[in-house]
Amino acid sequence: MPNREIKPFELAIVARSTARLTLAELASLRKQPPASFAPKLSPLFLKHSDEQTLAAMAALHQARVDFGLDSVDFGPWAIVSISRYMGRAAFATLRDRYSVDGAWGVSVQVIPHRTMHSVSGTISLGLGIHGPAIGVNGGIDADNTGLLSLACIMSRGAWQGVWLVCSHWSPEATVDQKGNIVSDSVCLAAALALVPGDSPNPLGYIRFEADDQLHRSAATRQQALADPAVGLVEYILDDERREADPQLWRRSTQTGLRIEVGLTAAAGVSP
Amino acid sequence: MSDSSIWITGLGLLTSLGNDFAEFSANLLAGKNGIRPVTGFDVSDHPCRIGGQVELPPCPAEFDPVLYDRMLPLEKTVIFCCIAALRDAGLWSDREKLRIGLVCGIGAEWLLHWDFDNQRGSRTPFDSSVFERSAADIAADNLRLSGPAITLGAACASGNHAFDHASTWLKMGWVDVCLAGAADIGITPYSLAAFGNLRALSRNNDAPATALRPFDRDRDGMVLGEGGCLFLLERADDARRRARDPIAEIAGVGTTSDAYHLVTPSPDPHHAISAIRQGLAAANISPEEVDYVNAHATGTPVGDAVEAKMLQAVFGPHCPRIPVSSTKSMTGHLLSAAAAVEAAACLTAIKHSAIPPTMNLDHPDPECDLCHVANVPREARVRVAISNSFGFGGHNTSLVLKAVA
Repeated sequence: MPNREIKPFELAIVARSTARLTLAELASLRKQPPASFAPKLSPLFLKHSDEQTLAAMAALHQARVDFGLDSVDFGPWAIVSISRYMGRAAFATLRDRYSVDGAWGVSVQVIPHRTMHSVSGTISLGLGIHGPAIGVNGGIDADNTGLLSLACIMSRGAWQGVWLVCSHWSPEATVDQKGNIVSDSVCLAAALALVPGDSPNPLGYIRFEADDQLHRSAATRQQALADPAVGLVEYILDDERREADPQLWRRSTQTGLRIEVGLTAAAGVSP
Repeated sequence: MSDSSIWITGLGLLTSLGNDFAEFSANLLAGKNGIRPVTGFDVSDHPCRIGGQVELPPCPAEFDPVLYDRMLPLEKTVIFCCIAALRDAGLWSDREKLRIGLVCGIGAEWLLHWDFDNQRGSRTPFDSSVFERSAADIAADNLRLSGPAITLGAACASGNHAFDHASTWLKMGWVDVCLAGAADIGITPYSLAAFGNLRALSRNNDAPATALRPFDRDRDGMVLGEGGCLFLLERADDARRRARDPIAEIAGVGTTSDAYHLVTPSPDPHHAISAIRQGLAAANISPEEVDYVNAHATGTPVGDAVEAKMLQAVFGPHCPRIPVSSTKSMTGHLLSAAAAVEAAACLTAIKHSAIPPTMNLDHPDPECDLCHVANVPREARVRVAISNSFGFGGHNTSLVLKAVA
């Protein structure tokens, strides 16, 4: 067996917020982007953005305002986005246009705006982030493994901080043949600003510890998939549930790592 | 004394130039070209009608053929490359005794997933009650890998981020060994149309083998390729303990973002230069020690010239003697899988002491004044190779690979 020295790792949460947006609210956000992004990302640009990108931008902007990060230079920061089933509606539109107009009907905006890295790419552009900008996973259990990217980016100490943005539709959006969202779904997003774990007065933490008792297995996978509603976004959104069980979000039974996310202060408190 | 180096001890690949490392290396060094007219769907109204398509391989002997047959092309590619890498590293039969992680770069996973699923008549894009799973997840479950498995996307730089993640997981002790790389089966009607309409693709449809011309003054855009490559990474101490010879060491990875534009690279290459310097610093290598650069160079007028500027800035007075080539001229641009396959091209250079050429480089663009390896391979001892990969959205990455003494 390999000689594995397990190194725990911790990040401190210094800002957080969430967004819960209807289709109508997303449409108006496209026309009037949040102030954090308005100087760089115009309505013309956002016309092509995915709804999950817009929701993530809204959550991030609120976190920035609520926790006094307005004047922070995000140049030496990184960003990880975890968006679930990115581009479903875009795919339906693509398929429809291709069937009607052939190759010329396919929009050039699909690749930059509707793929896994589009959320992080757009936000990095808007905030001037020059660290890595990554989109992770995208399936039903994306939150869980996506957090491992944070540790990877921050473990070398090269970047001052990292934004984590998670987003998905609730319930998962149903689209028609033309790519219109026809279900009564809202787009949920959460944004966390994270810095190295020794930061004073954090709002919470994300802690990574190995646990050799925890193995990925078919059984634990099924368990995780059985409760898709308990994602990181829901955990951050649901104050009541979190207060009832402060250690609710303690996941990763399938990865061999225990990842704990803890939030210790209410929104609106300055770090 | 403990050695924290990360070694590559196996790889599996699927490309238009071959489905194993020996065949791929032989074809690269022979200057063979995998770009041909696209088949499988009607391309008559597409602006670009050529590409480096792959033929999906039959089910590996180690896998359930019924299950394999049901899988989508992207899933088959990941499974095929993972099995080949585990086998190559001598770990296939021991895989359930180890905590094996999997990091796979796939940039447009869900668009491709729904595309292939839809092609075979499924309605999953329109049925939101089905919770589909990522290709990495499916591969990890079916191969009984017990460590973490993720797909990540950073456009064409995805593969180098995968190496970075896997190396860190190994250094943090989170996994015993880790599969890392990328896959992309991007020559589909929709993506060929989207890139074509973006005017990013060559329109030299009548001469597929000479269409992609990185650094050449007559270049007119890229040509899509497809495939994948997964590497088996492990800590040097562990590899020594089981008496495995390394193929090379992952010495460093540099990663930055331009924050300039979602498609166009920044005309100021400052942040891309930082990524290359970061990779070299992490590897503790000075620029003059680099023996070979596998350039990102996709054959677009803007991108190639900007990359030449970067390399001139990083290597300074040493630039005129450091060989540079773009193997995309033979494989096509594999999009999210490009970085992984180009890492394999660097391993070819290290293993065979021969640098694969940039094909079709007949008239080097004066704006791309570099030490080109044009049209024929060059014999050279390669101890340190770097592979640049830059992606839409301003993702800049540079991987440093080192021969192990």
